[in-house]
Amino acid sequence: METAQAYSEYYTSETSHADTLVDGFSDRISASNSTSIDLCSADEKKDDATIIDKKNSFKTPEITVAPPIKPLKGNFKLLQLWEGYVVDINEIKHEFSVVAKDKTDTSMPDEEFTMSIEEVPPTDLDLLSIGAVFYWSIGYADYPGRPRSRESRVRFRRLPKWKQADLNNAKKRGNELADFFASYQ
Amino acid sequence: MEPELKRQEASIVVVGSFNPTIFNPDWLYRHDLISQADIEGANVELIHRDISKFSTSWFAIDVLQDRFLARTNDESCFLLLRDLIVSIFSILNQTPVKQMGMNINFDLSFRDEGLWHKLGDTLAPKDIWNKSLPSRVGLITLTVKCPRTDQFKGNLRISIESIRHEDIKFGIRFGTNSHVELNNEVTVEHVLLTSWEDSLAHAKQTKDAVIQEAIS
Repeated sequence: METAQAYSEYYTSETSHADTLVDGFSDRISASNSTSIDLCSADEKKDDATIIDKKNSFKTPEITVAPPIKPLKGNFKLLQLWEGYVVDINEIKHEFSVVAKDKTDTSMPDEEFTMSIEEVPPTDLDLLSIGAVFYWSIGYADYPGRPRSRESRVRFRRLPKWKQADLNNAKKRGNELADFFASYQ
Repeated sequence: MEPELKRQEASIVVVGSFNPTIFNPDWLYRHDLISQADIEGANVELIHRDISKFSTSWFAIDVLQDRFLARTNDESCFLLLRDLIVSIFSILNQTPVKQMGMNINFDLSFRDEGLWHKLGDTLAPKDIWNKSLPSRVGLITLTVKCPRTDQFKGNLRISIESIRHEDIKFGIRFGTNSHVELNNEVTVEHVLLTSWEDSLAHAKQTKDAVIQEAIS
């Protein structure tokens, strides 16, 4: 509710700011159908490029480099990335087994190993299940005001939930196909 | 000496017809597309009928009435970004869309000013310009385009531009745009699930090959 109210306040009170932003975007987005992002100076006219200025003030210097995405500033230098799926969960030992593909060196064969459930962020624990797909990355994190740290990150893939109507339609279609093939027996 | 990779950003752009107001962190959270940690750290700049603009710790989304843009500068989240956009457009499968772009930009820094100039001189030879212009000519930006040769209709666009920043004295931004024309069979989800990883790999290979060739 608080979030909805916050959005409502944004909607009603930020109209003038929105108009400024929209005007700023409109000035810099050509009418063409380009799907690239051109972060060059806003002074440069491009006939077929989509120019998106990341700075709120839309006052770009002659040579621009896009500022870091807010709110996280800093850089994560990826050293290793795996994409895997869960094959077993051992609640007693508080660990889970996975089969993972090395995305950093795709020539490597798939690997099977065990990870501690402690590696899973608390907000992803409800996604931990047999067959769940996850990404495990290791790298150096450089954030302002902090020394370089080596981070290990596990994040599970999130896909939209099946709707009951979709399940019903799939079941109905399956029955139709079953009847069709049965009629040829 | 090869340039140092300072930053990279991957983005997905979709051209179509959108209602920006529906794109907000709460909507993503209600559909279980982002975690509670993501929504708690979300930064909402504006949700308006003409534009929606917000970000979390690992991605940013900007939506206009005719453009959807999602991006991340965290390489460990490039596949997560794909999953997020696939999920969004699976839910919004009735949204009219006509084109999309899979983009990645690399910000590179040259320690050697001579190599930086050599790159520009190789890609855009200066002799023809020096005959007409009064002073030394420098490359600001260069863009090339070629048609796709895979299953999709569209083109590949590479751009190189000179950049300068507090941590980049002699730099370039190497940008790649993998453009795809969409239709009823060629959907956003289909393109991303079949081509996102290849697009990223190809962009990196192209960047390495072009720079190596230009400065050797």
